[in-house]
Amino acid sequence: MDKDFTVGQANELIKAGRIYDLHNCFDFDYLTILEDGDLRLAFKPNASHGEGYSPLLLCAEGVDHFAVSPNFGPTTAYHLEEIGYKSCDDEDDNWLLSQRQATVADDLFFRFNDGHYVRFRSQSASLIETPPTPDSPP
Amino acid sequence: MVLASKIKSGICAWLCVMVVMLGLGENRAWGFFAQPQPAPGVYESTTQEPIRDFYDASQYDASDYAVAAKTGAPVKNLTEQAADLVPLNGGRNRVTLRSPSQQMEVDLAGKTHGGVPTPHTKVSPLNPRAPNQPAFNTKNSPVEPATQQDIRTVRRYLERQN
Repeated sequence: MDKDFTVGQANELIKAGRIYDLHNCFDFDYLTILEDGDLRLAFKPNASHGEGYSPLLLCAEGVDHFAVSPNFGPTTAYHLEEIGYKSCDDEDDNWLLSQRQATVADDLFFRFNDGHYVRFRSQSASLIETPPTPDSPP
Repeated sequence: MVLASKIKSGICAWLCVMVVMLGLGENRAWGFFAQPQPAPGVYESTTQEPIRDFYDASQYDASDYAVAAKTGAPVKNLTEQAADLVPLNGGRNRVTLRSPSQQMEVDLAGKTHGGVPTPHTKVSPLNPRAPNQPAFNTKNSPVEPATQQDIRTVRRYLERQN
């Protein structure tokens, strides 16, 4: 997977030296799978702890492996627990690989509350700051 | 004579138990080794130093000691103490500490998780059977409120880094 970001500690994505603490400062917004199979994972700054951040959009293109936990649906508010990597054929998600341990062939793994997860592997993935929305914190 | 000897032995045993209990009282993080986190994702280090309980008379420890009230120094609660450590941590909310047997993630500031506001901790055991080491079973580890000892441990670790 060719990415323009890395996983820092399990709560962070890092791009161009900037640390995005998704666990502590952002709320999960939505997951969308486009018609061509590309994937969008969106996070918005938390109202209390997201000051100074813009909404984030993780864009994965050329997805060749994708899985979500059973009953992962759009109507539930999920809280991101941690980020890591997992080998495509490894279903034991009790533990995750760190950035240092992962290879380009591994899935990017987002663990949410109550055992929910989103995992995927793609040709490329990029992290984009999107313009603030009216309800974004200042 | 025999009765006096038994009473004496009983008192000694009771004192031993009390000493052990007092020693274990607040050392929840006793097993951890703080280690440098020079770069994201790189946490392993060959320089590991056991954390020991200590007191260095800084304001962070004031809430633990009655002398604070006498000095008039402002007593900060755990939330304030933890927030004070974020700048020492390069603006990052989390500190990850590892020992040979477990990992402790300390969120100094940020969102509430599992109904537990920050500062909170998550301790995860090593999974020795995972093919990639070190690996820690983080999935079901509970989030718990940080203790004064946890904050003290993090502060010591960060002060060593800076």
